[in-house]
Amino acid sequence: MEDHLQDWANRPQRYWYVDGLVEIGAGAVILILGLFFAISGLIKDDGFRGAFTTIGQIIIVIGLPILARVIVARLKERITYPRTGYIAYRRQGLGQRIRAILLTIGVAAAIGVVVYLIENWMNLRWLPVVIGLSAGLLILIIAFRVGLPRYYLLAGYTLAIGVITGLLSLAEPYNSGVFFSGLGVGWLVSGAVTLVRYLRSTTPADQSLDAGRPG
Amino acid sequence: MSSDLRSFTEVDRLLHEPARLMIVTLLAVVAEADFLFLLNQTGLTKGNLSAHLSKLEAAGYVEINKSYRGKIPITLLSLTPTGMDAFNTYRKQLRGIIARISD
Repeated sequence: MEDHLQDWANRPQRYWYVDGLVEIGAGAVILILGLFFAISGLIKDDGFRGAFTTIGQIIIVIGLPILARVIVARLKERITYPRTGYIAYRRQGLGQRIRAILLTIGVAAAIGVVVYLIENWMNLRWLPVVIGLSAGLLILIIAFRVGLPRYYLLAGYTLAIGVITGLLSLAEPYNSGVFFSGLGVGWLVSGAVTLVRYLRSTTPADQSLDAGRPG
Repeated sequence: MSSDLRSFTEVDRLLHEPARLMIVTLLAVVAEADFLFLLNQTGLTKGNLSAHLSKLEAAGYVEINKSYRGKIPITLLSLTPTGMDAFNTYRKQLRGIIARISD
């Protein structure tokens, strides 16, 4: 019985991923990051390249995810809610929000330390392997906690792209360019396939449905 | 009456019905959901879901708000604090019963 309750309680969380839009949004941001790295490699290595890379990374890493989240929410209003229903997630309490902020800062600091260690003691070519492994583990945890079979595949894909990029031994920033572009394309494809399957298996609900509702 | 049997009778009968328990569990983890979402997730018929929701509303467990999104009518459902308390109590009782059976 407790298992049933847990499965039912997980459904709203799983519902966030039902249409593939989250993967499409995340994939687009990651792909743009990859293309940005690749393009930055084409620019002459002078002061401009440094400024271009720094400003671009800030915009892409901070600004684009916010924009993607807004777009995904709008698309859900147009595509998902009329077909399979609307839900509003609970807002996190202050304690939970502080914990989330601290966790984000901790993860960012850990990534910084790992990048520093790899840069100084190993070769930067192994950076995608480390990122692939870390991101793969994170996706694996989401897959297990929420119960999303396709996320197991995405976790494997993320790790595989990291290893393949590491083995290619490209120079930076092409190394990062290939890794993030490959990752982004994989996520976009996964999201697109999920969206097509979702659209084929659902239709916008009849508005007269409301007649059967209580109240 | 044995204590095991008594603990079963103390369980909230309104929530012990599987369909209503599913509805309340789904609403317990969200701020609000619409009728269509519950219809899809529970697999109940419109009439059946409507009847269960009316019972939960009458008990003060669920709040039902009708509004419009643009021109489309929408029925939003949320669990009341009373409903949340009843659900948490039910889960505790259930765990207690299962633990006693396992011992």
